Amino acid sequence: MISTEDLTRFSSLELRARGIVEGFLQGLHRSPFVGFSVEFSSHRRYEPGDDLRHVNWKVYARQRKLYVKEFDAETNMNLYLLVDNTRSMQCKSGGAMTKHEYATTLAASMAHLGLRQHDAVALGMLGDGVEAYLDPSSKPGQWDDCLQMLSQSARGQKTSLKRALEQSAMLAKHRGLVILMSDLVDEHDADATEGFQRGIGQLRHRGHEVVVFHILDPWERRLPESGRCRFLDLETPWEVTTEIGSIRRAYMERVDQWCSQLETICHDNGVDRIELTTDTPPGKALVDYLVRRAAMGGA
Amino acid sequence: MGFLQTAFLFSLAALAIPLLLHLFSRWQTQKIELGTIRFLREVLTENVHRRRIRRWLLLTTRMLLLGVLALLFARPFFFEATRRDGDRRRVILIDRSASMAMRGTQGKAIDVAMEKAIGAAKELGEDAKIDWAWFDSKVYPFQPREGRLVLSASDYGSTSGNTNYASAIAWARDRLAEDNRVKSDVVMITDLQRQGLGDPTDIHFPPDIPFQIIDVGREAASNLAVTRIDLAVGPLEVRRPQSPVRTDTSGKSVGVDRTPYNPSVQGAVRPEQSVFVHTTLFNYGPMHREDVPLVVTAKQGSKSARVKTTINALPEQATESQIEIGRLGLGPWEILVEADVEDDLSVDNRRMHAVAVEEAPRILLFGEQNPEETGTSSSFFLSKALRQGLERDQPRFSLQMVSNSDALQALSSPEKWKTVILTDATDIDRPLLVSLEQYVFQGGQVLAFTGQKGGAIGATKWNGSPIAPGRFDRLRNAGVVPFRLTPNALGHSILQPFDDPQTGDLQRLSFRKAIAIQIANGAKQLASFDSDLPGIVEQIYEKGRVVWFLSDAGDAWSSWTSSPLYLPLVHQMVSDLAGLTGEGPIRFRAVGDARSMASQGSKGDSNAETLTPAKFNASIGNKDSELSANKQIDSVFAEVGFVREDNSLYVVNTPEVESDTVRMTESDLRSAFALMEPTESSIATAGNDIKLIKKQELWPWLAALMLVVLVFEFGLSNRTPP
Repeated sequence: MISTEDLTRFSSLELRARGIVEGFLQGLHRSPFVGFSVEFSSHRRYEPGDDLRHVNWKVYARQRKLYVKEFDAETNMNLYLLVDNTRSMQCKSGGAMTKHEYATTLAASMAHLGLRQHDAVALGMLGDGVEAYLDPSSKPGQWDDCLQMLSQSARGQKTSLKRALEQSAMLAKHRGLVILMSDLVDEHDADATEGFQRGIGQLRHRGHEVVVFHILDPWERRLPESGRCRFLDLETPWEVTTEIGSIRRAYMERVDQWCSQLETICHDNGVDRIELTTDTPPGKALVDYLVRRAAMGGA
Repeated sequence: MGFLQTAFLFSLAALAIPLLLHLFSRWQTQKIELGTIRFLREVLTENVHRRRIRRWLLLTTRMLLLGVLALLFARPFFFEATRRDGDRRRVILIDRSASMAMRGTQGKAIDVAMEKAIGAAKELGEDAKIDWAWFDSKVYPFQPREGRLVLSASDYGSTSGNTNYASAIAWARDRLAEDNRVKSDVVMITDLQRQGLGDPTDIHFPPDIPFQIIDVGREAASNLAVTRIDLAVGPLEVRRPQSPVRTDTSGKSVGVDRTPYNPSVQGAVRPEQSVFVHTTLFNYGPMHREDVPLVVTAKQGSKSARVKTTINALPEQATESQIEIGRLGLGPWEILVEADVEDDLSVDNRRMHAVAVEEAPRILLFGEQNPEETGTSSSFFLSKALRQGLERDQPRFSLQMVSNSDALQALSSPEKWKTVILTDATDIDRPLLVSLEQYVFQGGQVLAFTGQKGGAIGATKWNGSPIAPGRFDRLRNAGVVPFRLTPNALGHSILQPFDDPQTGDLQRLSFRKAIAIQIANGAKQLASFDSDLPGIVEQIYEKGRVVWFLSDAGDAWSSWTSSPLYLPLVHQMVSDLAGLTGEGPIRFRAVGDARSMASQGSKGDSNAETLTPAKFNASIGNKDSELSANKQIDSVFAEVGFVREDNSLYVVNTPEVESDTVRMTESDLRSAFALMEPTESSIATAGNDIKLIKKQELWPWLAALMLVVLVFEFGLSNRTPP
């Protein structure tokens, strides 16, 4: 049963997602998800390493030259959207919306975008594990189901990235594009990166292409300039009172270090990591990423 | 290092206020929720050592700040050894009491004292500050002629006062207290007369200041002194002062034996009375003096009477004699008693006295013609009271009674009638009222009782009169509880004998009725009935005065006529109006006593003081700073003799205690006042190596340091987490 609050959030989320996608598609004539479509696009010379299955043997017979076929886009791709639904995503200190709202907006937009081009979209809500999951489907009602799931308020759980990603890997049976939207905070992880690393490894091991939208609140990334503050941890009862001026630089260095570790892990696993703060408009963030992905050649 | 404001060191407690405010402000924090504070905690944990150091540094800084602030307010200074003009200070006290006129082997003691004083001043060199003062019973500061250390006989004026070491030492103490940074000492040059010790208990001279005593007195002295004179109006009978009580110019009561030179006769002597001079001659020496000539001279202008006798003065005893000088004419007479003998101290061989010869003041009493017939009227009681002589058989007043109907013809000028008494003021007619107003206008004195005859209705005729006490109202009955007479103007010459309830409690007088008035502007309420109704009111009109008693003088409304207070109160009221209260025209003083303020203000009219230290100071043109000292000298009688001031004759004598020339030792004086005996090193002479102090205050440096610390603390506190 959907609540009134969730319904309001649902409408808001749908509008936001539609606006983002429509605005995006108005500037593009091709699908940004290039690579897995069966629609022929053009030929190019064979280069070592190209898949021999894409060699146009008929052309070779006529011209004795190796050409491979390129396709405009692949449809019916499996798009797995994984949204962090833990308490830490409720942080809204320096941004316009909570991290959870930001993540659901992005997820809804991507789901809409994928369904428009007949991709099968799956949605998983992550907490201590996978709290809710929607199997991939490209049916017309899938987006509404996605929106309804996204609209439900965040659960008050601690994050366990390792377990959540492992369970996601098991649920995502068919290879596809996995997009994780999370702050990557893992209170179960003493190292802060190990769980993520294992989870990502699991996904990659099953052949998924993984993109991580690392969503942070602006004040998580860089504390306020100065003042005396009492910091509350959203997932634990810890709190700290301190003068910001004395530790801000050290804190930012530590967060930079953490982000660098995550980046290294992503790079090592062939994962795209896009770091976002909630004061960046979600539409802009999405467009920037898709444009960058298209420029990279669209795997 | 010293502190100018040591008390500020206790104000540190107040510094807790900004500290508390600072701590309170630290509680005001902004609440921020983060997804995780893992990294924050890691950072804090990593920086814990550094933060601990910073906290200690912050604490140290704040303690330093508080300490600097406290020091800043306490105004610390460093002593700096410097030498400057006047850093050495000496107080030189020279005894100029009467005994200093005695001759010794080197001459008069006062002359030797001046030489010693100049020597003591020259010891110090030119850059020392010296406070000079003569002293007897008072202290007379002075400065020698500028640039010259020379003293002469004209400088000290006269030697006629009595010694009082306590006042001199107290003065030196106060002068030295003005600047305790300099090296100081005191030099006193005196003849060590024992009687000058006085009461040393409250002096508290600083025990660390050297006090030199230079003795210039002679070892033994032969002295014969006229120590007391009493006047009497009969042989071998000394009259003592009685009520009404006299007061001196300050309003203080003059007791019977206030001082030995106080005469027995205080009131005026009647012309028909023969005056006897009762003299006490004291021989302070060890030798018997036979046939000492004693001359009594009474003088009034060109008229004089002289009587001579001889007296045998036994050693170390007082001898009394009585000499009749007969009847004297009207007016004040100066009387001089002189022992014609040569001894070591001549100033006390003579003693002055004076007496006023006057008729009894004439009093006119309006009332019933023959009060004796009824024996109950107001006139009866008043006449009986006023004819009652307080001083044996001699009535104080010359009383004449007239009926109200004859009053108009009898009333004349104030010169003839000193005082008019109205026994029933509400019963007089209009013409007499007008005449009374004229009489008071010219200086007449009226004592008015409202009486019971006319009552409140009769009193209304006074309304509007300038000699009325106010607007007469209705007759008030006391009811069950009678009115009590309550004095309101304590110290007034009429009520002064009754200031002390133990000697005369006016509240014991009760009245059943009184006439209420609305007291006039300018009228003075001296007493009231139960603090509500005016009882005794004084109204001054031009030169004259009316004293109103707003009840009956007889026994109609009160039983006060049978009270022991009736006679003293009536006498006191009439005496005050007749000018018999107060100190009178003859006033007795000792050398050193204060002059009246009036005489100071009109000094140009005075022929007193032919030669005084004040005149000396004026002649040498002292600085303005010495004016206060000159005023002090001007404010006392400095010499013996007769002084006419303020229409009074002042008789100034040397106190008899000064005649006692018995000496004490230097150690007696030193132990009595706990005076430090000087040593070679302690004396502030020119040859001594004197290291004197000069302050160098540190507060500007402390203020700068505090500013620096404050800025450092501010920056450090913003970078130091708790």
